[in-house]
Amino acid sequence: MTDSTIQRIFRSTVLVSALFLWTFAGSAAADTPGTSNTTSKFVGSETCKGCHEDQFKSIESSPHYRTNLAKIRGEEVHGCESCHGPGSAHVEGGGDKSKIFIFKGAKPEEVTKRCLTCHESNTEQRQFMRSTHNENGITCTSCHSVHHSKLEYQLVQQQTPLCFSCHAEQKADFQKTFHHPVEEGLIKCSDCHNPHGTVAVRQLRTTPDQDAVCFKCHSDKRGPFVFEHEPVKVEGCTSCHSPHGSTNPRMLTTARTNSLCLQCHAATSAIGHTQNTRIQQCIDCHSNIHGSNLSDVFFK
Amino acid sequence: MANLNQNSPRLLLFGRGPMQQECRMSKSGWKAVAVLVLLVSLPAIAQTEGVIGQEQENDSGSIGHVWRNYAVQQSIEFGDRITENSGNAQMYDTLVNLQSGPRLLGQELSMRPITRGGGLFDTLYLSSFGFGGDPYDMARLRIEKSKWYDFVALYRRDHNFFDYNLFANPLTLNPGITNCSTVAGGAVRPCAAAFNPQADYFYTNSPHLQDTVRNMGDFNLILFPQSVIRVRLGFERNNNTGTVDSSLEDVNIDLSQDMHSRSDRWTFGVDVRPLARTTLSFDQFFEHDKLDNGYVNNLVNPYTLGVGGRSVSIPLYFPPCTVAVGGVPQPYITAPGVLNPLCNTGVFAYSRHDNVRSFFPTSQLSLRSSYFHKLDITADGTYSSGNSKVENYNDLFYGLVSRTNNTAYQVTGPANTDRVSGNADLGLTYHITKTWSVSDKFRWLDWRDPGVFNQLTNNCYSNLAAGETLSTPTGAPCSVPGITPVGVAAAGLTASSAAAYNTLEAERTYFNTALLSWAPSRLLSAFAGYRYGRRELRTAFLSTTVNSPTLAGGLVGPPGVPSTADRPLATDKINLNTALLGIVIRPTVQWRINVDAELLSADNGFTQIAPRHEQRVRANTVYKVNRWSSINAGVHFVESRNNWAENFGGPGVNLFPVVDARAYGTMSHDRYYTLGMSLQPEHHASIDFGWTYMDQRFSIPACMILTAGVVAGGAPTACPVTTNQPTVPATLNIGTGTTPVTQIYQENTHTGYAMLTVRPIHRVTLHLGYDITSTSGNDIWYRGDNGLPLQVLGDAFGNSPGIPGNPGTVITGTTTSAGSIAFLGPFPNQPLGPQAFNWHTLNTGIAIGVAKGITFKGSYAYYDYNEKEGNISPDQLVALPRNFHTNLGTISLRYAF
Repeated sequence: MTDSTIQRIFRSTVLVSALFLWTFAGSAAADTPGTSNTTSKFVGSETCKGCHEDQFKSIESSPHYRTNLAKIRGEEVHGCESCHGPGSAHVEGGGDKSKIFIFKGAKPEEVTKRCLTCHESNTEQRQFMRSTHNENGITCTSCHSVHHSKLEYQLVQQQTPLCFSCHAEQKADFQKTFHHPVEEGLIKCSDCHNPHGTVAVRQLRTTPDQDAVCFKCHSDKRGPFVFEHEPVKVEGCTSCHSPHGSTNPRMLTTARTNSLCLQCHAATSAIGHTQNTRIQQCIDCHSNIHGSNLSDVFFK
Repeated sequence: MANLNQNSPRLLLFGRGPMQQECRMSKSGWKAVAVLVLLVSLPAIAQTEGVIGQEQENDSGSIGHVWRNYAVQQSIEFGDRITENSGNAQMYDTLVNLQSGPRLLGQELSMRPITRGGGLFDTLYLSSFGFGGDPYDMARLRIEKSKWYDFVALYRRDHNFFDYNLFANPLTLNPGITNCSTVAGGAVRPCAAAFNPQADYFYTNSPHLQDTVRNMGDFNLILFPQSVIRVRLGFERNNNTGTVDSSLEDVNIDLSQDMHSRSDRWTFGVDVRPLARTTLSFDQFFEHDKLDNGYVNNLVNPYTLGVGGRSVSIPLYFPPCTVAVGGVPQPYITAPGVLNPLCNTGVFAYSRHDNVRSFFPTSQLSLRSSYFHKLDITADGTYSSGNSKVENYNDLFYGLVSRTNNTAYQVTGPANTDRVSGNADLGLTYHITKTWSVSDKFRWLDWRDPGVFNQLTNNCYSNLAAGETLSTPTGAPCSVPGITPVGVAAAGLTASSAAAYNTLEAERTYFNTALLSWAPSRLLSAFAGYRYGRRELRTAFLSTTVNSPTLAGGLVGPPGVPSTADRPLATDKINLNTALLGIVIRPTVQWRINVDAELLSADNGFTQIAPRHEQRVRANTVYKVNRWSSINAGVHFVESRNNWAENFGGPGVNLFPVVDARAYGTMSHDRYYTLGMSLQPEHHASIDFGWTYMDQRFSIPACMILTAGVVAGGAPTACPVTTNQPTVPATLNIGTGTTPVTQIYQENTHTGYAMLTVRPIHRVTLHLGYDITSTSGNDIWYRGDNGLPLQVLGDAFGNSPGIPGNPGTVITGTTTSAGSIAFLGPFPNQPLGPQAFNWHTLNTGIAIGVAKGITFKGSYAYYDYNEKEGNISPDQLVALPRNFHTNLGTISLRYAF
């Protein structure tokens, strides 16, 4: 074994060890501020208000004021402590941050669990535990702020720029020449995607009968048709269209219609369609390409 | 289901920003950011219309007023747009469509309670924008009262205008200017009455022009939102009307379609909480769709059959006139607006109407529970049995289909398709410890669409003599109900046919995703999982046609004997295996790094482009400077393969007869690189900047039929014939004489934006923004033998093979060559069009608080669309360039009170 090899192994070992130690050191450190003391008791929001008046007022003027009600849906809630946990130890400790749950700096999974305690029954949030956002460490406070937001649904930003703060490539797609009018304000990301997760891939919504969400607006393409263009139903609209935006007309994935059709119909030549003719586009004849009730080759 | 998260794009309240300004970055952090900003050049910036002024409006000091127990804040903004366009106005209308005129640019109303309790509502939000002429208008109302109800109403209007000239190769619109005489030895003499195609309507408008208005309303009401029993009611309407042009096969004329589409959906749902942390839900949906179609031949710019003759619709592109007089080929167009009466293709009248009525009732049962310790459960089941009927179908044609000598036809018949679907989803998450958890998602979906169409056709033909012309078909068009031929006798050959079609498309899908998650600390988390999927696609097709009577020449089959076309039930199956991996690193509270990957392997694909192997890798990092500011960067790669062309002709026999790596099958990649920054270092300034680069490429082999003799340099050895090969689906069988080619499509797009907003003094806000999208690429077909670009021969106008008499078509005696000019094939000389353009928008504006609650705003936007047409010489470009540039000024007055 050469000296250079030994040095590489040594450096790798040091790096891995440092990462290992940093992870668990961080784990121990990170646990401290967010930990709530299970022996603590509830003291009531009025007690919290004594030191945290700004936060108390922000809750009062927000939809979360309901946490100060005695019960919600039959379950007892405790105002501030319904999220931060019982506060007696925190109060007795003179505001000891280690004796109460603090969202800032907490593990995303801990944050998620607390929010879902109340919000899990909502239609929109019910799949969050299995969502792509949750898998990738995005938690409720990544997008919402209970104390600091005056926007609807207590988002930290308007929805569209908030999504774009992570999904920058989609912003680029919506800027292209042919796009869904998200930047114009007519459509939101949440029209097609549920940011809290769905069972479908890419957190896409569906129609009630589990068909593509595209058909909510583009209902004339939905069918069902006597003669289906199979990929539309089987592979989805994205087999031909770029759903966010494209430089190509009709948001197609290619600049020329013929190029798109020939991706699958490379053997259409067997039917006798010579390609070097005056035929401009396949859809000049096959015009009802999303499906037809009247022609098995989508002429009508 | 309407999305309750819909909200206005504008700040609901004028004045203070949505976030308290309490979190600012440290000095050291700012040093780092300053260096980064200095390294990045900030060009002039633009903000798209509708967003300008957001969150940076001047605070003119208005804080609303108190009305009863409510704090009321309102604002309204009236303005005017002034548009000046030069260049292609249709392109501007397609891409931007902001026209001159007064507007209601924005309106907001907010009512919040001062003290809780009492009153009809707790909070009310009402906002709108765009009314008065903008292509996008919206109004939204939300009103709620804590325990009693939550109501959201959303209205959206979308004017969709599309007039993008889709003539991929405008050169072949040349009407086949032919020689008025031929000269032995190859000399060419242009016809003296050459037609100027630029005068024609079709050269300046899209043949599939669309001008529709969609009005959408979404209404959702939740009763007793905080109670044990919760009721949900909803109604959605989607109304889409307008003109959508289309085209008709065979004769290839342009059609104008008057479309009316309306979709209504009613929703009733109830949630019950029988146990702690358990919710049981039932939803019932009813959807009713109406689609009324009416097509007529487009007579916006009709031609006459000969000078002063009958009006006739001409096709989108002009084939050469096959009639020769004295051996001399004849021009198709003899003068602007005049069709040569000796040529065959034209339509006197066409109409098609049908009404489609669809109904989809769907029931859904759902469960959500975390009753059991550490276990989270969701379960859903849906069932839907829908139906779609076509009524009043009537299709009338009168003209001449030269291919069949069909002079008139009428087609009627009912059609009916069912859609039955069932679905079940189950999701489980078990938190093993505070660090480990497992989850599983199972999804089953089964749907089928059986369809029936009973078609009755009445046809009229001329008597099949050679040399039939549109103006004088021998035997004369016969009478077809609904068509009254003018000036001809009611005679001719008739035939009718009755066809019954039975179809089926069905799919059954199972997916199960199992995931193991590990989150030892705030700094690190990771997951690994496996998804198995199975898809079964079933299709069937049966048609039975009975014709009566037979015609001379056997054009229509023997009477009374049904002919059938049968594709029996076929089932395609796919097994998909996907590995899922991901890691999240959070070095600090503000900084997150995500890396995740999906690695797919499938044993089949329903289409040639569906991946059998796919790798999706995504890496993204976000640094939240504070709640107002962030920096992000990322890469996203999708690499796909489908080796359908391997062993295509049997074991060891690839699609191409020669070894070519591209004969593997479909290979594609999509690669994104992004960088973005959004900073608001002070309340008085903000900076937004971003850049994305997209690299898209796919490669697909094909076996293509080309006209004999047009391939420059000689055609490669033909693809192997694969009819009846057991390993090849019947639809992919290759016939004889096909040319092996590979399509390689490449697109590279840069997208950038920058926006600067400053508030130099109180009551004055300045904006400066710039967006750019720049794309380049190519779409080239390569020979399957030597890998060189495929070239086809044609005449100077891009007709391949060349038209006799056109420049570039060599005539030797009675022999016409394919053409002497080589074009990148197979579509001769198509302009790059959308594969090469620059799209800029520049926007600047000022907002001045002139008095308490009153703000004057002015903005200027510049739009520039420019296609890089370097591959087309100007004298070959007959269609108008799609380039344009537009100046748009908007002035407005905003009053907040």
